[in-house]
Amino acid sequence: MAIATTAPARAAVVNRPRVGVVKFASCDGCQLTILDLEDELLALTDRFEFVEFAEATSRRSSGPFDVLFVEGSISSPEQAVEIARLRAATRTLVTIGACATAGGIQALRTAAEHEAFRAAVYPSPAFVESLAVASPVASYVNVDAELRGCPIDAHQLVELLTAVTTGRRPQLPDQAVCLECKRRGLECVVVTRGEPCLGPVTATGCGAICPGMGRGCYGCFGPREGANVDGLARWFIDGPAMGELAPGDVGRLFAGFTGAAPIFREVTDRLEGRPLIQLQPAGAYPAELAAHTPPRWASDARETPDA
Amino acid sequence: MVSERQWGATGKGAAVRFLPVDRLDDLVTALRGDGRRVVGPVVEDGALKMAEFEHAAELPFGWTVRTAPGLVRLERRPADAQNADRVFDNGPAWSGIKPWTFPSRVDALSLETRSDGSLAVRVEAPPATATAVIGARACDLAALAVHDRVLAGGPAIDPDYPSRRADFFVVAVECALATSTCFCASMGTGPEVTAGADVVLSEIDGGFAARGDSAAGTRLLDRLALEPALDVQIARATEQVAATRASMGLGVDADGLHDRLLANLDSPRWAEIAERCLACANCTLVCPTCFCTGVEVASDLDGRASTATRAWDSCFTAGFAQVVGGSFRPQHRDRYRQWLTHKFGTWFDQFGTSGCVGCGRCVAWCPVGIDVREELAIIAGPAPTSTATAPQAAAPVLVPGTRILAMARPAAHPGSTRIDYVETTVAAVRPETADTTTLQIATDDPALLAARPGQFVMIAMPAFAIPPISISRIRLDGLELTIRAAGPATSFLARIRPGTKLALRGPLGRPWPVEDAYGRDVAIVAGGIGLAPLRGMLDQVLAERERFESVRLYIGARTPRDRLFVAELDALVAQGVDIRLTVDRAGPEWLGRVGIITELFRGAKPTGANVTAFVCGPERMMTAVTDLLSDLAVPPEHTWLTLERRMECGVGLCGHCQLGTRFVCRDGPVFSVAELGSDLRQESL
Amino acid sequence: MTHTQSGQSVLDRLSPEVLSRLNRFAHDHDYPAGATIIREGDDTHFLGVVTTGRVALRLRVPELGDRFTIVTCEPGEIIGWSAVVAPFRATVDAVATEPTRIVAFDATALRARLVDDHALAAELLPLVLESVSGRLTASWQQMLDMFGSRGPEPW
Repeated sequence: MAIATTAPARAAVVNRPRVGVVKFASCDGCQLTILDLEDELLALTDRFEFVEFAEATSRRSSGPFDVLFVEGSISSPEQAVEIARLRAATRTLVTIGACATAGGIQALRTAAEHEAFRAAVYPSPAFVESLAVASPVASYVNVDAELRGCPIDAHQLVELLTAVTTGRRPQLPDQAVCLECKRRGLECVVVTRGEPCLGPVTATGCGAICPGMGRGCYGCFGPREGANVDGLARWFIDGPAMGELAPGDVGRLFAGFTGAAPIFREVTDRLEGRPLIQLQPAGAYPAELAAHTPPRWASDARETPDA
Repeated sequence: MVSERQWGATGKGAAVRFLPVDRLDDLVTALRGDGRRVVGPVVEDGALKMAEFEHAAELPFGWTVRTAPGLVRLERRPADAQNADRVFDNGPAWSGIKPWTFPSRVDALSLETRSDGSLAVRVEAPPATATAVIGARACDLAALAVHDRVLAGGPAIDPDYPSRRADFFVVAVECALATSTCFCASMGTGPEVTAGADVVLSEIDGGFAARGDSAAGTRLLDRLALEPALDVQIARATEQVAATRASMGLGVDADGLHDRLLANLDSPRWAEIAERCLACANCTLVCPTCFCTGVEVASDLDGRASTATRAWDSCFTAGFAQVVGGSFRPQHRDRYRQWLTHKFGTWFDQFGTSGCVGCGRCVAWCPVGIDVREELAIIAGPAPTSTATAPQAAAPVLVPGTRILAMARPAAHPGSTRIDYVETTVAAVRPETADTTTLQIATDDPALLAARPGQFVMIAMPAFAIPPISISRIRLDGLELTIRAAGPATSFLARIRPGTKLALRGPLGRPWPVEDAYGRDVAIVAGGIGLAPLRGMLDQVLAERERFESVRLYIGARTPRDRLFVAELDALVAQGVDIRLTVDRAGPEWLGRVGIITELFRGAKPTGANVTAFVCGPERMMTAVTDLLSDLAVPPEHTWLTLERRMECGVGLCGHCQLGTRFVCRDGPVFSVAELGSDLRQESL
Repeated sequence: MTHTQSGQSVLDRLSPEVLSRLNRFAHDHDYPAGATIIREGDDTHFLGVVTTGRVALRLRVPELGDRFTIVTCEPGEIIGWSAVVAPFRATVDAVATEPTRIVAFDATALRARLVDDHALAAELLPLVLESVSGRLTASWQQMLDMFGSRGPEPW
């Protein structure tokens, strides 16, 4: 599927691609981040037709979408139905933010007794329809690309849209935050203060915002490629250069905005950062959606049929 | 009275003066007065960082430092402590000089498609600001000497580095404190400052012993009109640095380390380290000699204009050794081994010096406290007749950069270090198979026209990454490039229309040594797209046919439809050229051979001593062919392969394509089996 | 390297004694281009050596529309190893792609002979094994599909 390489790279923008921005269970912060792109907004609206973007326009559309940005996790039964409908109406579906890509902070409820939570929070819980877990969008439908972070880095979104129009691969790094930290010339908070930081196991893209403010990374971009979470957790607990951190506290470090990411979740559970409750198996999306191919940026890397 | 004894190991006869501490600011002011920005250690977020400053008062007076693996604590010296107010008794600043001579991100290339379709290409090399650094340590200067060699020592010269280095004034400080992570004495780079400085300071009571180590440095001190240092002050400076040397703790047993390390590529310790190593890249980014970079391309929304930025990269990232299909170093184990064996081992082969200067930054700034000194001792073991771990044993003091071994560098070929781009035109496009296209490129650039078979070019086009593409034919009016569409950039190239402009850089790399086959039998063995870089060689062999004995071509293709250059090869067969072809599988209409490429040699007798073989294809195929050719008695020094690795620069500056002691782009991509030795089969090297 | 078009035949690697004993139940078979020599699943009637021509060994994959040639047998190579390996059933279709001659050794007679004639077995079976192992390792290489698309490249 693809956005990219099938479109002629230099075609004049006659029919602007139809872009939508929709949300599920989320705070709208990622959408607001898009609106913060003051320098680029006009150029973006020149080249793309925003047919649905609740924070920006009263226009509404039920599709079809060339590119659909989806914010928020799937937390209620009707959301599960709606995301399936949107997927069917969309060529390129991009999840944005920690909620849509990893469940977000509300995925913490998967660790608790859902019914007890509902009863505790709402006077008449029967009126509240919600699923026992808050799940990443990719647990329900196939996703073509994801922009991570809480909130996303809006320049990554511009980069993705540019890649769509020019037919190239979006440059979304999967390196550790540490690389950006050192390129910026920032001291390491783990080394100078013994402060836990998830930078070494977290994907960069934020520009090392938190270390730049003198605090540890809390992993909002989620695990990077090859994240050695065990090695990091072990050092936080036992490292002679670290302060006193109990295993449970270390486990909870990984239980933040992307705490439902399996590799983070596993270390949280193992260190008893929260009660062990089985997660719903990921990827259990409806069979009728299986026709959508997984994210692939090089559609031209096609199989040559045999003679 | 000026002492007869000279402080410092240079013996340049420069007079030693005394710089009172309250006149340090005069030194700063004088440097600034010369139009330089002045950089020195300042306290920032709990550590000392080399940053621009205005007055000496901003320097870290009264601070000391405590370090351990994974730990750095800057602390105020108690007011009643000895030397309480000293400014430089706090180890090397963590960021070192590197960000000022080799910044973490620089503009590399800008590209724009003009309205008439032509390309504006500019290699960026911004003019540098004159800079003075105060407080550089012996390790920093040793690292600078390493960078001079790596980035400006040739054959290719970094386009950015020399100008930053040209007007760079160094005020060095001899360390009066060895932190627990310092090990310069064992690496032979310090603590004495022996080369690379303009002015050298040693902090003593009430100020600094100061000497000029260059003409500019001596002139600067002259301008300050300082008093000569007293004998006792000079003696103090001399004793002080000797005490620093003596106090240095755990070191690296550098004696024979190259060989001991490379003999242990299969040590179980690599896997054990990988359980702790986060592959976070901090060690490489704080290392003052690490020089690897990657290219990031950003474009405008229309893709008409783009800029390529060169940023620090690291051999610890997944993308570093990535090619089509996967990474050559998939595991943390592989990446740590690459870093350590390069730094302490193969760096010697490539640059004639160690890559480590003993500054200890990688130890202190590893967030999980991995200590290279410890790991080297375990992996490489002790030197057979070693006496050297204790610094008291007085390792010979060497001027940085003097430990030069014979460098085995193949001669550079014309154009092979080229860093500028040439605008060319796509003259014709010929589809070869469903996914492979041959572009005929028109150019009158003499260097491109002088390309030789086996060389490659880098292709820049607005908005896309810059891929290396092998040359498949050299024509009188240009080049042919045969490209398989496997990613966005190559897919774009495969769809390109005649008349489009492309910016080419090259020819790069070492060509096929066709002359090695003069008077011998020629066997050309090609698998898949591997036929492309061999096509130009076949052209040359046929053009000079009388210089060779028999000529045979062995070709493996995936299916009949994936055969390249079919009409051309059929015509050659009709002329009597011996071409044997097999495909991996086929439908019933195919009446030719089916089977793997080595089957083409079935029944051949082991009488290949007079054969020169040229082989190109997937590495797995090439090793199988190499085994077979060896069975057939084809000498390894006459068996030539071309390797594929990640390449971002093509001239040996970005570090991505390293294989053991080689940069594949610069030293290859063509190598003989004899040259590669066991590295050809070493896992994840 | 000396390299004749036919290569070195398996027959050349047998001793004259063994060859003469084999000759007692050897027959030359000639096939026109396109002839099916044996069908997958049938009992294998002979172990043979291709003398001239070419034989394509094919597998049927009906849902992919046709038969695929997995490997070709060239002059000098063994065909029909399943004649001496239980259950003595052909594992592929064998089709002559050009006029082909095969020296064939009758399967039943050969198997009986192998039981009694250990000198013959000791010479012949390693050559059969060599052929099978060559096909096996070739299949591994082909399974890797090395010349195929390896996935997206990083550019």
